[in-house]
Amino acid sequence: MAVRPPGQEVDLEALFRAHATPLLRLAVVLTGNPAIAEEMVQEAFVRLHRAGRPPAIGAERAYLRRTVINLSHGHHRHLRVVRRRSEDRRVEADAADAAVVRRDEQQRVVEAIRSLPARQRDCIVLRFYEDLSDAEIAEALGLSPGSVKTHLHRARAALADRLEALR
Amino acid sequence: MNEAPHTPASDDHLRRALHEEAKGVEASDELLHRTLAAAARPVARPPRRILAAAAVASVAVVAAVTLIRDDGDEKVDAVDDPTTTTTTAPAELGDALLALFPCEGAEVVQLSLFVDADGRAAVEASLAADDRTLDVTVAEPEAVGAALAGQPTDGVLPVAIGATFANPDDELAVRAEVADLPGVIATSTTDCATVPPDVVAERPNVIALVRDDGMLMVVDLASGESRELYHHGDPDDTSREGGPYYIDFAELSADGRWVYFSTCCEPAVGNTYRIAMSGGEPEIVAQGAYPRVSPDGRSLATSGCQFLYVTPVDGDGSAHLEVDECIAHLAWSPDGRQLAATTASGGTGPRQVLLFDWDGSRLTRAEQGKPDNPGSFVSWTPDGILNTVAGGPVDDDRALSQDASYQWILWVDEAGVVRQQAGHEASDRTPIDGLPPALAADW
Repeated sequence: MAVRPPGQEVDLEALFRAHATPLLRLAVVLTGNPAIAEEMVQEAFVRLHRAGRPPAIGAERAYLRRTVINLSHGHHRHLRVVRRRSEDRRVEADAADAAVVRRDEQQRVVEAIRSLPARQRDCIVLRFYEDLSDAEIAEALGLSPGSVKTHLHRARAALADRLEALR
Repeated sequence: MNEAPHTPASDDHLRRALHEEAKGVEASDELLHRTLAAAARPVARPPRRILAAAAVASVAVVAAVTLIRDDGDEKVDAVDDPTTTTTTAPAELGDALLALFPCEGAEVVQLSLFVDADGRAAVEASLAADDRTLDVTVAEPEAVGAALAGQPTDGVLPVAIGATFANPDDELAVRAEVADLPGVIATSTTDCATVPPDVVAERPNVIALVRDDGMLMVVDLASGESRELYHHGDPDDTSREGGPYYIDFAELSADGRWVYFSTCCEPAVGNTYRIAMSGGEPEIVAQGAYPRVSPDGRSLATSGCQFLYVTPVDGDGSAHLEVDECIAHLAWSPDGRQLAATTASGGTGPRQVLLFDWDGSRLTRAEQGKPDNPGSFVSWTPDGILNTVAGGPVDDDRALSQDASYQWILWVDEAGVVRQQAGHEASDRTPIDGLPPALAADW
């Protein structure tokens, strides 16, 4: 990682081409909603662009990822994702179609993960989608490694319960 | 991770399901162009909500409610400056804040009714039927559209009618009467609750607020003097991963010795801190954000998205309740036995009002007494009637950082100038009776 020389602007297009697709996939995994996922990714890049002190060179991906995760919480203090009404209908129609076709176990697993409390969900997704270690998850989320273990443990127990109940 | 491979929650299952979910997702050139265009747009200063400073001498302002804006896309870009209304010099800060809340002394209640065009005549007739109402204001129809986000308007925008009453009883009577009239969509009030006597005596005439640069301030309303208490971070500092971290909510303890505050925007649920009114270092006292002190001053309610917490102010042993929804604003009932909460909007289903019972040690979900209409902000009247305020998120790019509570938004800029608006755009300003002349001119 290198400190960005003063005055050197972030090349947003280059960063987008390097990181947007993995971020968008993460956002889709977290939210299940492609329209919201795109809004989140766009917002993450815009925030990076406007950052008073941008992250060091090489640290952009972590910055963007953390922003996307925070935005995914749908927390009122952070994110108001407002879909245009036409998009609402489209997304809902897609979801309805998909629900009919993909009511399989994998879908149930993903839905169970999305229904977890936000922090547990983050930990599960970073472990099993991004393949991060406890320590890496802790760093990505600003948590202690101990609390990552706790979140993962609780999430696993909750998932086992919920998925077992659906069988 | 000792689950047998065949269980539905095994590592393999989780991994495969998540990767399957992401399959085929690609960032398009169209998204790139949208992103670049958004980044190139001039920065609109995000609307800063301020302050929830609970203690003003013998009254506490429980809710100041106004409107709301047109939610049409086409109007969005026409508004350049979401900040507003310069009103006072720094030395007059206390007076100006006090003047904003017209409830001290005589009880005055402001009622707003959101009605559709068909119901307007009936409501106006009802309000004008006798001498109970002092004034009726019909807002510009264009200013009201977003009050009904999510509700069909069939091209006919509703109107807002505001009425001022000399005392809460009159307001309640009229409210009960008009609530069932055809066309009434929502009602809300700006009123002043009486703080229980044992608390009143100890509460100083002080207000806590957060300045535009994130500085926690205390203002003595008697003298108008203000001072800086603590700075956690600047709202404009986006250099930290995940965004800025700053104080976004403040509330006084019942005895006025402490200021509770939460910070935006932690990952996870956030924390509530307290700092002595005399200064010093803050300490974490509760999980969750948006601290609200109970009417008896002994408990602190906080929201952590899918958690609701009640924590004793002078000890350990917080109670919590996990809910499916993401909770936003909280409000204690006057008797301290219930908590109303609104849910956050944003892709997790329609906004709702939730109600919880608190028996002093345990939180439970209450279904009885929950209002039917959705709201983005809740408050209670002094006699225990739950208000909700209609309102929806604004449909524009800046909605990504807006707050959804359509209460009066006040803030103080770095020069100590009080600013205020309702909603999130300058166009949200709606005439409200009872504002001091200096403010009314701008509304």
